[in-house]
Formats: sequence, structure tokens, C-alpha cells
Amino acid sequence: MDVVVLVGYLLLGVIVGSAFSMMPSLHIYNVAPIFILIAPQLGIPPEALVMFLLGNVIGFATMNTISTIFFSAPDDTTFLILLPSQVMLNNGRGFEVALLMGLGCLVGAIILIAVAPFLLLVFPVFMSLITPHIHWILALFLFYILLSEFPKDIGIGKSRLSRLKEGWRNLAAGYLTFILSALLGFIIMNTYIIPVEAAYFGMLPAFIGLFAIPSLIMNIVSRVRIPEQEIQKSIDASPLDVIKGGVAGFSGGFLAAVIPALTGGMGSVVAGQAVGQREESQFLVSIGASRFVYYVGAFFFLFIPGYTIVRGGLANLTATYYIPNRYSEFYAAIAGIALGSVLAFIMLVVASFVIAKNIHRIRYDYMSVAIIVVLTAITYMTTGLIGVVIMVIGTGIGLIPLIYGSRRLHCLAVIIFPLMLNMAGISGSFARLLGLG
Amino acid sequence: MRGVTHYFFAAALVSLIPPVMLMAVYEKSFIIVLAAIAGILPDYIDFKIIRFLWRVDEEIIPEWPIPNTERIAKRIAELIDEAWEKMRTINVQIHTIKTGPNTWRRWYIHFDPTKQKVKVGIGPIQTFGGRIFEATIEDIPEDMRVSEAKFSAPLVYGYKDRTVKISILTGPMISFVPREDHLEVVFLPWHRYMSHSIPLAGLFSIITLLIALLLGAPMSKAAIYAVAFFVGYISHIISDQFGYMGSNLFWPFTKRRVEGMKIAESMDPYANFLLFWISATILVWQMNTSITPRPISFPWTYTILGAEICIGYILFLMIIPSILIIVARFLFWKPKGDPYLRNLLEEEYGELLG
Repeated sequence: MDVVVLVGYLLLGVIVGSAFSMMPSLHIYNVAPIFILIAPQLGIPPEALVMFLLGNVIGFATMNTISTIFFSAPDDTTFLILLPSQVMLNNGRGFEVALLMGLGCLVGAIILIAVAPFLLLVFPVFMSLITPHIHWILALFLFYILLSEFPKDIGIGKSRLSRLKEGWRNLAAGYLTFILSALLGFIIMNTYIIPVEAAYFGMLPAFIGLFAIPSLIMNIVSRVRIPEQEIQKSIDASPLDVIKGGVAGFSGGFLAAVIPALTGGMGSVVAGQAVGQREESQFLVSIGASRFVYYVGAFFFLFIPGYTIVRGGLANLTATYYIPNRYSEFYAAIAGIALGSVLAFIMLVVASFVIAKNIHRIRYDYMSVAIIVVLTAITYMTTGLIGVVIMVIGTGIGLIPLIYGSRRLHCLAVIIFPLMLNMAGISGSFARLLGLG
Repeated sequence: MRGVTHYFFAAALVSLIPPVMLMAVYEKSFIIVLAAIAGILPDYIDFKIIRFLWRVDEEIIPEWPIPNTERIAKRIAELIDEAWEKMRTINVQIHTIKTGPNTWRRWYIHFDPTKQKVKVGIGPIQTFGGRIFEATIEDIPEDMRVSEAKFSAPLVYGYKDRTVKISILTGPMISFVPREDHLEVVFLPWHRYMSHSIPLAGLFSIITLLIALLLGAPMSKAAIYAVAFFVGYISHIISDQFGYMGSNLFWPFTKRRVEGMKIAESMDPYANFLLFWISATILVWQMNTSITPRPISFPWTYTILGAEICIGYILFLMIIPSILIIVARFLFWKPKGDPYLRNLLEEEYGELLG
């Protein structure tokens, strides 16, 4: 098929993916299977469908930031920016957050495109290097996240024990979140609690519960009112901020795309700390870049000719249908990423502009209730009643860090912990320990 | 050094112990993670346990929303005199001014031992990431922004930077410690006092050995776990010793911090990134050499004293990038103020930030 046509399918994918991705917490991985199912009936050839799906992922990685910035419904990569973006939104600077995140996506795309030809040489070797080590690499990241949270308040009072108690409130809440998330993830992955026919959506209820609904509940409880937003003509970040944020984000996102179970947010936290990043605009750029490289990079690995490198849920599903193996497809995908990321950025700017102009007219608490209803409906339709139960449990766990001011990053134990045990070959022993085996 | 640097440096160092990588690959052991945890443990003990259990004699809590600078300055001056007159150490916990979920009002304490004055000033509101809202200084009436008070004690303030900035999260602790002929100001007296101790590293390693034996590991394996823990813990103490502050290396036998080698500041982003980079390259090399056949065959690799060494890897991935980072540091990093005090305060915030 002609390269121009393939890129055309990709751009169409960006538009369709972006449109769906504006819906809070609707993951493109949950919509894309429908496209895979209907594509043959529409006469779309497999190589065009794969490009269309890559476009979907580009649109999602860029546009879904809107649901975090304006609707407080983050996912497992954007929950890290919720606090700074809400502060900026409350100061009338929501549009600027969207620009910074979008800029991060563009920087991520540029670096990804620049390194893409080298992936042909490096990536397969790199994979064979890390595969035997993944169990301890995952544990290394997991325990770093657990141990690196420090008390945020030392409390007021002269009794040493009262200070210890006060200081450990958020730490204990963080550890509790970690343990409960890890157990929830382990049970979902190692039992048949989610029906086999809904297995593809297995983690969806937990993710919606842990990451999206708790912040929506907080919006309702605190009766948030969003002020009129300013439309900034420039962003409050120097070129150096953008480069530093972009490079840290790329490093984190790439690491997360390569190592199973690691997410873009987690990777960029570690990368950001390694380069001493603290400034907010840098952080927003880095999460934008990290998210783009994590999602798009992981799917793009499928295009590396001569190898079948499957990373991420959508790539897994696509690989059962079609695996690109021609150099023309690989380079068409690179060209598509270049054009698609620009198109997605323009769509993000336009959509953010419209939302920023009008969001103060909307009752935020009513909107949050409506989003919770939609999310519950999505969960019920994909995973049934048990999915809703898991979503409620996840919500309970996800509320702990919000109430006690600890890190929401601990919620990621839901996926990393069971995979780490799996890679180390001790899932069975742990299941027996829990009485599940 | 930052927590992330200590963590990965410990993992890299322990990976150099010959059986460690093989245990990680072929026995699916988490021994490298154990060493990395040991590498972050000294600061964990300080910032999560000791700081809470350290005696607090006085707390300085600024009023909200408009702090009374006059009262604060007067109280600090009184505490200085009290410590000197009664010849007893007074530990003062200073608190921050939180103004929102992600914002704090910055304030300052300026010590002037020559004029025997302490000055307190109120600044603007800032965010966690350091963004300053300059206009918020106008919230404070002009005559309430700065106050000063006199003290009579012979205060010796060993830090060049005389202004302590109190901004985000939690505030620092200051100790007024009477010596023979003067009163010394010591910042974060609980930090690097007990935890950064070589004897303590030895004690923890023995405990690791005993736990491994209790869990059924043979003596040879238990000993490797104990050594890995020791190497991880010591790596933290050694890397901190390259800085300015130093540590109390032989607690409980010694009582004061031994000054550091002043090669790099603990919060220097370039020094941290350099050590992080070297750690990452060591880990990648060790990961490669622990697998047979090697995923990557590096040219110019020689076996010296049983260890594989690749000149190209050392030159192109370790030495040249390290030189570039060092050059970039000298070109672009221009820190202001006194390195001792800046490091103490930044380390406090740095650790809180993770």
C-alpha cells in the first residue's frame, strides 16, 4: 500500500482517537478493539488498520491530558500532574497547563523520531539484555517509590511520640495504599474474578477506581468552582525548561515503554529526580513527553521490522491480527508520528481553548457526578457487576492518599507488584500464602 | 546526595560483588534491591524516625495569615540568651507558613552575630515547585514585614550565608549549643548524627545475616546477603563524605560530624547526575556480563584478574560522558550562598521531595 495512504490512515486515526480521548478516563485501549473488529467489514486492510491504531494512540497520548487538566479525571500516567494543574486551573491558567503538556508531547515525539532509526539496531539487543533482569529492575523501582516518600509535616507539639504519629500519618497511609493496591492487583491477575470474556479489560475497573473516581469525589465534596480562564499567548517556561523537561520525560517514558508494568509517570518521577527537576513547568512538560513516549513508543515498537516486540495491551491485541514487518511500514510510521503529533497538538490547543473559555460556566460538582456515572457505565458494560465492585474497592483505596496527603504513586503497585512476582516466578507461592492457590 | 542517587549507586556497587548478579539472574534473587534499600536507609532513619524523636525545646510557629515578626525575632533572641545563660543546648523547631494545598508563604531569619541582632522577615507566597507570586507580599502591611531583636550571648554562626530561608513543607530545626567560650548555631542537629555510622552499618549487616539464616539460607548465601547490605549502607556514607557536611562516622563512639571532603555538594544536580550515570553504566555492564551468551559483545574487551574490562565501554560510556557532565557543571551551575547551610536546607527539602 502507498505510504501516503498509510500516513493518511494514521492522521484519520489521530482525529478519531483525539475525539474519543476527550471523554474523561475513556482509555483508547478500550475503544480500539472495536475498530479492530469492524475494520475487515469496512474493507480496511490490516496494514492500514495498524497505522490507524497508531494514530489513535497519538491522539490519546496528547488529547487525554484534557480530562486531567479540566475535568480532574486522571489516569495512571497523568495523576502526578493533578495537583499542580488544579492549582493553575484555580488561578485561571488551565489553558497554559494544556499548552505545556502538549509541548511535552511534541518534544517527546521529536526525540522519539530522532532515535527511531537507531532502535532497529539497539532495541532487540537491549531487550535480550534486560529480559533476565526484569524482576529485580521492577522491584528496584517499586521499592524506590515506596521508600522515597518522606513525611510532609512534622506536626506541632512537644511530645516525641505525638510528632512521630503526626509525621507518620501520611507515610502509613502511603504504605497502606501500596499494600492494598498490590493485593488488589494480585487478586485480579491471579484469579478468575474478572470473567474470561472480559479479560482484556481486566485492570480497567481497578484503574478507574484508583485514579479517576477519587479526585472526582473530592471535587464533589469540596464543591470546586472554576474561575474564568485566561488565554495566555505565551507560556511561563524557558527553552531550557522545555528541553530539560522533555529529555527527563523522554527518558522516563522510554524506560516505561521498554520495561513491562512500569508506567510513564513512574519512569519520569525517577528520571526527574535523577536530573534534579523541581520547577512546575518543567514537570508538566516532562509528564507530557513521558506519556507520549510511553504510549506511542510502546505501540511503535511493533513496527520494528524483523522482530515481534509487543509492548502494551493494544499492541498485544493488534499482534494477534497483524504484525508490520516491512521497512516501508516502519518509516511510514515515523513520518506518521511526525505529522500526527503536530495534528494532535493543534487539536489539543483548539479543544483546550474552547473548554478554557467555557469551563467557568459549568457546575464542576455536577459535571463530576456525571463523569462518575459515565465511568460506572463503562465499567459495567465492559466487566459486569464484579467490575463495578472492583471499581468501588479501588476508589476506597484511591481515596486514602487524597485524604491523608500521601503519594498516589503507590496505587501503581496494583500492576507492578503482581508482575514483579510473576517475573520472579513466585506468584504461585504468594497465592498459596494468601490462600488463593 | 539525593535519595535516588544513593539508591542506584548502592545497587551498582553491590552488583560488582561476583556472585550477586548471578544470584539475581539464575536464582531470581532480589539481593540487588536489598542493597539499594540499604543505600537509602541512613536518610530514611534520619528523616522518618530520628527527626521526630529528637528533643524539641521550643517551636517557632508563625501566626496566620499575618505573622508577627516582632514576636518571633524577640523569642529567637531570648532563646539565644537563655541557652548561653543556662549553658544548655536549646533545640528550636521552626515551622513553615502553609497558605494552600500547594502554596507556602516564604519567611526568613537573619543572624548577625557582630551586631548581636536577629532579624525576621516575611516574603511572598510560593508554590511547591518554587514559583513565586511577588504581589502577595502586599498582603502584609509594610511595617510588619521585618522586625529585629537584640541578644547578648557571644553567638558564633559558622555558616557564611546568614539568612535562613523557610519556605515549603516543613521547617528546619536549629540548635543553640553552648561551647566553652561561645554559643554555636547548629542546623539539623539530628541529621547524619546516628544513622551515618560505620559501626551501625556493621550491626545492621549482622542482623541481615541472622535473618537470612533464620529464613533457612545456608551460611555462604546468608553471608553474601549481609555483605551486600553492608556495601549498600556504606556506599551512602562514603558518597555523603564527598560533600561539605560530613557525618558522625563512628557513632555511638563519637559525638560530632566529621567534616566532608568538600568535593561536591550533596544537592549539586550535576554531581548527582554524574554518580547516577556511572551507577547506570555499571549496572548495564554487569547485567550484560551475567548472561551467557552475552547479549552485547563489546569490542576491546580484556580479562584482567578474572574481571572482564572493556576499554571502549569505559572510555565512551563512562569517562567521556563524565567529563562532559563535569564541564557542564563548571559552565552552567552557579549556586549562591554558603554551601554548608544551603546543602543542609536543600537536603532537608530534597529528602522531603524524595
